[in-house]
Amino acid sequence: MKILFAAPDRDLLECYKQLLETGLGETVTAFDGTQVLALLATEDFDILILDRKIPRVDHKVITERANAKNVPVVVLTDEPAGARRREEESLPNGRMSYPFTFAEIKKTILDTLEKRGTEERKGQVSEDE
Amino acid sequence: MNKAEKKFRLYAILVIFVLLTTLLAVINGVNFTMAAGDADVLTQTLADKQGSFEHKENAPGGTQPRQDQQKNKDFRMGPMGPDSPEMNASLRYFTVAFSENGEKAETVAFRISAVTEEEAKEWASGLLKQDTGWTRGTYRYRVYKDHGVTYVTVIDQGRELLPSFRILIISAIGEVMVLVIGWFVLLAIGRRIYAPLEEADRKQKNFIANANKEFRIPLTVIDGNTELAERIYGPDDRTRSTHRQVAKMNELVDKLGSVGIFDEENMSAAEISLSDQLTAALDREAENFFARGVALTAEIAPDVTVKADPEGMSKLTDELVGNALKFALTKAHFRLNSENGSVLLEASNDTDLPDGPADQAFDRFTTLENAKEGGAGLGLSYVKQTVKAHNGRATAAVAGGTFTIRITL
Repeated sequence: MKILFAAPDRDLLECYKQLLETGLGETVTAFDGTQVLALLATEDFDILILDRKIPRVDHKVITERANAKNVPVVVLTDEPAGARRREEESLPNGRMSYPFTFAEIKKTILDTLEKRGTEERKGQVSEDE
Repeated sequence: MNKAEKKFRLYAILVIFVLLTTLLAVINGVNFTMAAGDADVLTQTLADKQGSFEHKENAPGGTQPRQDQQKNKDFRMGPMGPDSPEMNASLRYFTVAFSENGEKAETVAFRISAVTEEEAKEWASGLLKQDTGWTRGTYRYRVYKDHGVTYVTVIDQGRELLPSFRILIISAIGEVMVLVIGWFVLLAIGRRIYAPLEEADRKQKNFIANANKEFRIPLTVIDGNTELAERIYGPDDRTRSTHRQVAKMNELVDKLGSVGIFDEENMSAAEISLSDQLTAALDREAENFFARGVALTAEIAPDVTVKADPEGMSKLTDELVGNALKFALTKAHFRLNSENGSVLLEASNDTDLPDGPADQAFDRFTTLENAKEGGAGLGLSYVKQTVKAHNGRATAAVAGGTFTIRITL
């Protein structure tokens, strides 16, 4: 599995790069939105973990671009877990509120991938039919 | 508009209404009482003169004025009184004398145009039961006896009462005007008073929200680095302690976040089963109650539903259960039922707090004296906020060693 982790906090990136690499798979980090777009254009990723406040490029633009390349996105937000973000709820991606533990983000990543996989399978079945 | 501002305005206008109505009622009451007193002086004077200002030789009681006729001379009406030279010409009145058995009626004086003499006799015959009073609105009468003859004197006070009625009408119009003007003044004052309070509240919420956000990433990093350290060096007491402290901080951060998230504009409404929600919340914590040695009991009526924000109500039941778990000494009890279209939810636990109201438990960042375990003082604040947003009522009180939160929705 290849993960792209994008957040504006270097300590968070460094810590979670190591955790994700030992727990899930190869992890590439990005500090701002332009880096994320460049990486998305040049490399293939299985999932993008994206901080909602990523600088330089709006997170919605990045999410659209990633979804267009069939890369699901887990949006990280500093909003409380109960806060409603209707525009995000409608997206076929994951959502995670800080603070979280490694176990929690791992579960969210796997759930999001499974959801995307199920949707793809559904899509393939309907195409076959 | 702020609910507190609305309440302030309603109470203020109610106070103005009550005070003004009382004042005007007293003024008009005194005015009409004095008018009645003035009329009584006139009827008494006429009684002293056997019912007429003009002495008749053949009057049933004789021609001599009664001995007590001078007693009202020094009376309050001064130059406008019954002894004024104009009174004889200006007073509209009639006096009817009735024989002892009441069968024979004779007009002693008749200086009125509103009725005929025959009508006057019939009118007077209907007034024999009481000594004095008002009749037909503005007529004052007096019934008295002299030498075995019963006299009924009726005077017209319509013109004299006119100023009193005018004052009454002006008072009523004035009161309405004061209330209308007062409403607009209170509108302006209310805004001036409550705008800074709302602003302070908004700033407090913003501060909490911002501070809360600033904690979130560092806590994630601390927990992540602790996890990394555990992977490299293996878990020990220090890493476990760090995880526990981070978990506590995470909980506090979540509670701080909830202060800002529940706003009425964003809340949704759906028919939800409060019975199920409360049962689920109690089931989740049942083991923890047991572990703390707290006896947990509940009376939950089935199928109690409310139309409310599902997220808000779920958190509300969680907070109530969490509060009881934290502060109960040996027992906690929950009761949920529906009466007359209202839902009543009660959460109680034994306590060492003194008896009395304990509504301060709902204040943000406030914990009661028995909060030995501490706490951010946010859980019950959220409960109150949620209940208010659903037009409900939440109260807290201690009675006989039991702390009870009562919620009506």
